Amino acid sequence: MIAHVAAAGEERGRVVVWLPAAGRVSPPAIEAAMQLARAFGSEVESLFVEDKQLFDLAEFPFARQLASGGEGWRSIAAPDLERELRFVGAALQRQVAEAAKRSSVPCRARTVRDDPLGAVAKACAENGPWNVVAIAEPFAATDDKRLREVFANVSDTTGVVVAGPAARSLSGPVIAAVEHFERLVPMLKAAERLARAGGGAVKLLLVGNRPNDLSELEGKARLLFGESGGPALETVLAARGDVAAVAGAVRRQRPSLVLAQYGGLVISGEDTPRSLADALPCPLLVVR
Amino acid sequence: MFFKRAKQSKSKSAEPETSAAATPDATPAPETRDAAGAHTSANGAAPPLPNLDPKGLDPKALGFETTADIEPAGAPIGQARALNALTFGAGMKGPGYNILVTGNEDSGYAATVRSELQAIARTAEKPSDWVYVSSFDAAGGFRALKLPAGTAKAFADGMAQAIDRLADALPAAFAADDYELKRRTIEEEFRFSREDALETLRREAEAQNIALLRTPAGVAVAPILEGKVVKTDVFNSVPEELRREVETKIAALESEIEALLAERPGAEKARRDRLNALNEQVAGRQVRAVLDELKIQFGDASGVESFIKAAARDLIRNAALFLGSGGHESVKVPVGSIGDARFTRYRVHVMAASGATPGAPVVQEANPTYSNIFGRVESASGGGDGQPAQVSRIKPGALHRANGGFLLIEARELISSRSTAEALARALEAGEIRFDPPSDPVALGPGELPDLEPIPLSVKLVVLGDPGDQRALAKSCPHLIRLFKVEAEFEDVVERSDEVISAYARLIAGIVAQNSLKPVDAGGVALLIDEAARKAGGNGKLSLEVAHIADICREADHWAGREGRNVTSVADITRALEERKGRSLERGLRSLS
Repeated sequence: MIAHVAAAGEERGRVVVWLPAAGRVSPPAIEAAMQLARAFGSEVESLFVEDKQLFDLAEFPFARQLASGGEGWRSIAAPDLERELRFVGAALQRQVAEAAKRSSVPCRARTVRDDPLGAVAKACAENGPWNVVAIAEPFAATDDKRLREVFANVSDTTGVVVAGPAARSLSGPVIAAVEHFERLVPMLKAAERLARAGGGAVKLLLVGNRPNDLSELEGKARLLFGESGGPALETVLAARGDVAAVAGAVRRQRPSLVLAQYGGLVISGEDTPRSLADALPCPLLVVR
Repeated sequence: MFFKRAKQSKSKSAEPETSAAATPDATPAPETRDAAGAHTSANGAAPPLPNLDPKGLDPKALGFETTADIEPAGAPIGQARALNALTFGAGMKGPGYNILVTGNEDSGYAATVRSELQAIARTAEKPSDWVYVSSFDAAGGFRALKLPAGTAKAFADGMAQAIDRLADALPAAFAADDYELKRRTIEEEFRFSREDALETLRREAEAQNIALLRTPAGVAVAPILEGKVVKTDVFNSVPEELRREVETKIAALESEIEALLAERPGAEKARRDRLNALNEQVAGRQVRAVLDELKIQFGDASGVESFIKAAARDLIRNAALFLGSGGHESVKVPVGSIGDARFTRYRVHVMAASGATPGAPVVQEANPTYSNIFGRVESASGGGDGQPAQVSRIKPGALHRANGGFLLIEARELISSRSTAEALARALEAGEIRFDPPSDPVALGPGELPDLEPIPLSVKLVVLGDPGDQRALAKSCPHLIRLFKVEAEFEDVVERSDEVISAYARLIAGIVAQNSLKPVDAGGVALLIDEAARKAGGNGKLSLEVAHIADICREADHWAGREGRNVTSVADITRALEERKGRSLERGLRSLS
């Protein structure tokens, strides 16, 4: 969990920006990766994965692709594919490098031809003690499965940054969406470091499934903060993981980043009709 | 005594000038102007004759100690005929009754003309105001709107304030949660329909061991086994019938994908249409609320309501202008007001506006260039390729300011600006101010000039000049000269008479008062009148070169001050004359050397 990073001041981690072969990236996801690296003094690795399955497909005589620009079907030949991927990879890595330069974050680039998830898992296994994977491809409405696969297969990742299609680079507060009291302090500390790096404030969003649970969580939080008052605090009742209620509360704050817990109420780790990332106006850092 | 200063009483307004009075206690009588322009008493009592010494005017005969004892003259001497012509021309309706005024520059006739016209204009009807507003058409043209007198500036301010308010209200409206929710709902609906369809397709394909893969260029379909793309050697090892079946499935799936993606342009258009409708709904509410106030206030004037409607349509269509730039379309960046280049097309350009002064305007244009007469268009940006430039300001010319009143121009200035004189003649003949500069007046290319609707023109042009200038103007611009049906000729000299001498003394008193000089004693006045006689060349006439007399008065005042006197005496006048003579001689000698 990211908690130990925030608590121990560990600064030997890495943010792996996973660049997709399809070539579409979300600039807010990349910016969030930079904010994370800056906050924790870590480096960024831009990892462009040439999906080797595409080369397997290219070997078929009937293999063809439908261009999204409406140019119609055309065959897939391995040399063409190789050239296209090289150009796409170079363009994406340049984009990440420029973002890193703007943020004064060390950055290195790597291109591999592999199964995408396997490549990310290997990259994270090489370094430690912590890694955060930033999925640069815009997170689609039905991408919860992919998030689940990352947490399941990339065991060395501490968290995953995702940005939905509605996400924009904003300069608002960092919101920590907390569902359990024991997660409150570490998530808040992580949020504070991120907020300092982004120049914003921290806001706490307490999320509960039932009114009683939520009241108890709020009571404990207020007791913890005592007279100092702590950060601005809001509660949201998200019965049965009501994503819309949480998304609405988050949107009102116009945040730059939201921290949420994986496997909780709002990001259950199971198939959900709509993911929170998809509904948010900013990137989401999902932590174990 | 000839002269008596009028008492400062209420009788002054009813009886603006007093003529010579026989005794100090005599009641001032209303003054009238005789054919020669001299002043006589309305009660018929002729003023006593001064002692006209052929060697010079006897100061004692003037009947006052200093000019402080007499009423300063308000009217010129001996110009009755010219003034009558001027009054006639000023009052005549109909085309062509413009006035050509001839006179010697030193006589001060121009000031007299201006003053007479101002008096006439004060009682005339106040003309309507005029403004230019955008027609909001593709050509970038401007419509002329006629507004009730005194309302143009308020209308322009009202429009500017409306834009200011929208600069606040529109970003706020688009930042409101209900707008954001509606916008997101539309976006989500569009996205869900596409992604749901793709997801359904993906699941159907996976059930048949076929995967949709994203490639750098688009989408591809591949046979899979246990979630991975099948290697070709594995695929080729299966029976041909099975391979064909897979290939058929892949072909069918490709068709479905193609059909799904082919629908996108239509769906995208539907999404845009719905978003536009939402934006227009949100913006429309704000725009109408702001502009309705303007409509209530000014909507009665012809054309104003249709302008406001057109402006509202344009504002709604271009509401994004108020949201600034950068980042999310719903992130509101405060923008400036009407001064912002983006909003110049909503500016109301005031071309003619009546102020607090009553009556019609009297405007003198000292430098009658085309842009000073017909106005000027300033561009902010744009243009090129024959497209209209973005107009930031339309500045009125003298014709706009004088419309409904009088425009005074020196003949000699018009001679040196022949194309302007021709354009002026065309405007007077057509009875309209048309912006059609002979050459680019403001850095706008010829193809980029905005189309300004002509403004109806009703102005009396008064051209001033000496006979030489008038002749030169007639020669250089005969078209213009034909438009002057009235000529007012101011005299250079006046026949010497008792009345004229009385009036001349009052004229000197007027010069003293206007220039805040020390009073001139009777001896000094007599000497000045003698100087006027000398200047006229004798023959029983007096020169009307007031400027010359005024110069002597000012210089004598200077010498009197140097001597510590409170009254300018005959000695000071004498010294002023001698000094002038000396300077003149010196100039002459210098020019010879």
